[in-house]
Amino acid sequence: MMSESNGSSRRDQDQDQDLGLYFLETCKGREMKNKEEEEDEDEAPKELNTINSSGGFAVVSTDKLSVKYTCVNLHGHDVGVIQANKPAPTKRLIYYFEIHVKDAGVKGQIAIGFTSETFKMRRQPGWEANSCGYHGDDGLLYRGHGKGEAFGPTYTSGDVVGAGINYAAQEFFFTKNGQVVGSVYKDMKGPLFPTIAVHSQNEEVHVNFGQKPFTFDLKEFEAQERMKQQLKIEEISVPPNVSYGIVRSYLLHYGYEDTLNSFDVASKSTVPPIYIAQESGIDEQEITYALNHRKTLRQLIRNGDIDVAFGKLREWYPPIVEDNTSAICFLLHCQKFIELVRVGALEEAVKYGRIELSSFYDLPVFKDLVQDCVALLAYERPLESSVGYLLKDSQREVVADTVNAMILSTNPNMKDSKHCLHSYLERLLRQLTACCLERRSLNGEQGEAFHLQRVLGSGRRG
Amino acid sequence: MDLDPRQYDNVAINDNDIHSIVLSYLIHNCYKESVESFIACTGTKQPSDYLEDMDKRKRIFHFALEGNALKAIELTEQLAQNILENNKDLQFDLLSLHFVELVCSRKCTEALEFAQTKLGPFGKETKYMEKLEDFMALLAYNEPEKSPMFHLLSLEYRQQVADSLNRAILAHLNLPSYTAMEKLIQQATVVRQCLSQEAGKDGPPSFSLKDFLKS
Repeated sequence: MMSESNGSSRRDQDQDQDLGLYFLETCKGREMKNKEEEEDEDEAPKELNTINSSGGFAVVSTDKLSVKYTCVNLHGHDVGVIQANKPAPTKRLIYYFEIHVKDAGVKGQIAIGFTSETFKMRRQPGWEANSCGYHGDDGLLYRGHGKGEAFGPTYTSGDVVGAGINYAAQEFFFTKNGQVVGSVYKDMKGPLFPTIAVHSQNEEVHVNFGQKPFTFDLKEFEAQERMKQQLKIEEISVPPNVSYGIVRSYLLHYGYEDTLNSFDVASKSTVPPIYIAQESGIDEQEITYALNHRKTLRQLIRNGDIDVAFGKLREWYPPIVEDNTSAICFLLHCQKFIELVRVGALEEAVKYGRIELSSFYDLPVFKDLVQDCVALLAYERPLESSVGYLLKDSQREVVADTVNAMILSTNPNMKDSKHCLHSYLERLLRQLTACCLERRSLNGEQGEAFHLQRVLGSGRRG
Repeated sequence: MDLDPRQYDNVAINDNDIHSIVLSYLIHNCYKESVESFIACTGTKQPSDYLEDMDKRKRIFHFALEGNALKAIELTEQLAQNILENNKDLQFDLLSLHFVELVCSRKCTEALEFAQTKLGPFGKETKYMEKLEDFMALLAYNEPEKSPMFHLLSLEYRQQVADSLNRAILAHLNLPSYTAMEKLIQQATVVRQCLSQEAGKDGPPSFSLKDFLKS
C-alpha cells in the first residue's frame, strides 16, 4: 500500500490505528460486559404493609399475611385496605399474587387489585384514580371511578382469587379458583402495589405472595404468553438463501478458508447454481480479499506462533506493522508476552516485556492491558487469577480478529472501513440486541430482560 | 447502520453466540465436514448430539431434492416412524414429487395411475383439491415445462419440500427445526417492526433485510 504523500499516509495510518484501537477497547470490555448482562432480580413483595394501612379498620395478622375487618362499616371511607410491602417487580414477564377468602363476613365486600404509592388508604382499590380492583360482592372491575364495569363472577368464602400484571401485553388480569376471569389494558404507570381490601364485619382474607404454590397455573400461563409472541415471530418468512449468504460471508470475513471450502462443496447441490449473492445484496468481493493470507495468520496466532505471525506480516503487509507503537503491534507484543508466560518461560517474558512493552506503560490507551499482562507474572497459577482471561483462547481470538481486520483494510476496493470490523452476522445480532434493549426502555424497563439464548433457542419443535 | 447509534456500538457480542449460530446452520443442513472444520478452526465446543442421524437426514434430504420421493419416504419411515402419517401436508407434497418425476420422464400412464391411487384420496379435502388440480393439469401438456404450472417442476419447489421434510424429522428427533440464524432474522425483523410502531416518528425506519445487507 503506497502512500502518495505524507498527508494521506498519516490519514491512512490514523484509520488503521482506529481499527487496532477498536479491538483493544473490546479486549477490556469483554469480561465485564458479560457480567453486566445478568439481571438483578428486583425484589418482590413478601408480606403486607402494616405501616401505611388505614386507621384501625382492619387488623393484620402477626405474620403479615392475612387481614380481618373488625369493625362495622358505616360508609365508603372506612375500607380496610392494605398494600403489599413492596411494589410489583417489573423485570419479568408476569407478576402475580393470590388471596384466599377465609370468610366473606356480613357483606362480602372484598377486593383485590393494584394501587399506586399515593393511594387513599380508606377506599376500595379501583374507586380512586390510578388504581384498579376486582370486587367480590358484585364481580365488577373498578378502574378509577365509582362505577365499575362488568368483568367476572362474584366471589365469596372459600374462593381463591388472583391478580396479575402481564408486562408483555401490558395488561392486568384476574383469576378465580385457577381460571382466568378476564384482562384489561394497563394504563397505570409507575410502581404498582398489590392491594387487598375488606369492608364488612368479620371479613377475613389470606394473601399468598408466592410463599405457597398458587392455585392458578402461572407457569402454564407464562408459557402460553411466550408462545403467542413466538407465533408472531414465526410468521416472518425468511427469504431462502439469506442464511446461506450470511454464513458464507461470515466464513469469508474471518478467513475460515478450510471450512469455506467444505461448505462450498457441501452446499453446491442444495443451493441453486446461480447464487443470489447480488440479489441479497451481500458484497462478497470485499471479503474474499487475501483469504489465504488471513487464514494462515489466524492459524498462526491461534497456535501462539506470534513470531512467525510477525514475520509473515512483515513479508506480506509491511505497512501494518511498520509503526511499532501502533495498536496492532502492541497487541501482538502482548500476545507474545502472554505466550511466554503460558509455557512458563518467565525470565524470557520479563526480558521481552522490558524491550517491547515498557514504552506502552505510560500511554493511557494501552496501560490497562500492559498492567494486566505484567500482573500475570505475580501468580503461581495465573490462569486462576483475575487476569487469567489473558491466557484463554479468547484473547488469541481478539488478536487474530485484529490482524484480520487490518489486512482487510488494505483492500483498495474496500468501500467502508467499518466493514473490516464485523461480518453481517454480528451486525444483525447487534441490531437485534440493541432493538430489544431500546424497546424495553420504551416500556419503562418493564418486562423480561433480553437473553439471547432464550430468543434463539425458543420456538416450536415442528 | 440504520439504527439509533446510541445503542448500536455499545452492544457487546459474544463469540460463542456467533459460533453457535453458524453451527446451528451447518448442522441443520447436514454439512458434516464443514461442522468438523469449523469446530477445529474456531475451537468451539462440540455440540453433544449433532452427529445424531445426520448422515441419514442428509441422504433423505438429497433424495427429496433430486425428486426421488419414494426413496426419501422409505428412509424417512425407517428413521422417524409415523411422521408422515401425522403430517398429511408433508405426505402429500412428497407424493406429488414422485408424480412430477413420472410426468417429467413422460411416463404419463404411470403418472395417471399413481395420481388416482395415491393423490386422489387427498382430494376429499378442499385444500388438497386445489393443489391436486394444479398437478393434474401438468398431464395436459406435451411439454409440461412450458405450462403455467412449470414451477412445480422446479428445483425451488423440490427444495421447499425437502426443507419441510428436514424440519419435520428434526422435530421428531427433538432437535430445533428452525436454525438460530432464521430465528435471528425473524426476531430482528419483528422487534424492529414493533420499535417503529411503538416509537412512532422518533423511532428508526422500518426494517428491510435487503437494505441492511447492502449497508
